[in-house]
Amino acid sequence: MQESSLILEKIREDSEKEVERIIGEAKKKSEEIIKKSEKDGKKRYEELIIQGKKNAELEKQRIIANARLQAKKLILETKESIIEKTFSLAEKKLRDIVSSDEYESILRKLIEEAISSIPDKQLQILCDERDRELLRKIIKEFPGVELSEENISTIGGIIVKSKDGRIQVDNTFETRIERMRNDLRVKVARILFGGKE
Amino acid sequence: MVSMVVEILNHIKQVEQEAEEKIRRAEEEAENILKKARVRGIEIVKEYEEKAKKEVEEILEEAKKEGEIEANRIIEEAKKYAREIEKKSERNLDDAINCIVGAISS
Repeated sequence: MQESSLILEKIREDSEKEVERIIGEAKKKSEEIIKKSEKDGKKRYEELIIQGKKNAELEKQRIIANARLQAKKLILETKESIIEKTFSLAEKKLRDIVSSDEYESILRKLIEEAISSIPDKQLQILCDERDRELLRKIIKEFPGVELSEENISTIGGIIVKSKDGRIQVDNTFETRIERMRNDLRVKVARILFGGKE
Repeated sequence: MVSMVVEILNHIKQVEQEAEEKIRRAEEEAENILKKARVRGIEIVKEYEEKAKKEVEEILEEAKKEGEIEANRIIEEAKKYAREIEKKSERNLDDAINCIVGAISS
C-alpha cells in the first residue's frame, strides 16, 4: 500500500513537471516571437522612414526643378516678347522709310544686290504699285533691266527675276526680314539684353 | 488480496489518465500561448508600419512646404529679373530697331 502511494506520487510529480515544462517552453517561445516581431517592426519602421525621406527629398527637388523650368520659361518668354516687339517696331519703321527720301537709295542698293546674284543680263523688276514711278527713274541706271507690268504687294523693296523666270531674288523687306531673322535675332538680343539671346 | 491489487492498479491507471489529461490541457494552453504571441507579433509589426507611415506623411508634407518656399523664391527672382530685362531692353530698343532696319535696307 505504501509502495502504491509512492508510485502515484511519482506519476503526479512527473506530470506536474511535464506541464511546467510545456507551459514554460511555450512562454519562452512566445517571448521570442514577440522579441523577433519587435526587431522586425523596428527594422520595417526604419526602412519605411528611410524610403519616405528619400521620396520626400525627391518630391522637394521635383517642385524646385519645376519652378526653375517655369522661371526659365518666364525669362525666355519675356525676351521673346521683347524681340518680337522690336521686329514689329522695325517693320513699322521700314514702312515709314518707304515714304522718305532715303528709300530711293535703299531701292538702288537692293536692285544692285539682286542683280549681282543673277548671272542673266535681261532682268525684270517687280514692285509695289506705290514704287513704280520711283523705280522707272532708278532702272535707267541699270541696262538690261526693265519694270514688269505685274505688281506685287509689299511694305517695301523689290523682286528681281530673270526674263525667262528661272531665277528670282526676292528683296522685299518682308522676305529679307524672314531670311535674316535668325541672324538678326542673335544680334538684336545682344543689343537688347547685353548678352546672347 | 487479488481484489486489493486490482483496486490499486485501477487507482494507478486513473491517476495516470488524470496526468495525461493535465498534459493534454497544458499542450492546448501552450498552443494558445503561441497563437496569441503570433497574432501579437503581427500586430507589433503593423503598429510600427502605421507609426512609420504617419511620420513619412509628415516628412513629405514638410518637404513639400520647403520645396514650395524655394519654388516661390525662384519664381519671384525670375519675375524681378524679367522686369530688369524689360527696363534694360527699353534703353536699347532704338539701337536694336536700327540694327534690323539697317540690315534689311542695305
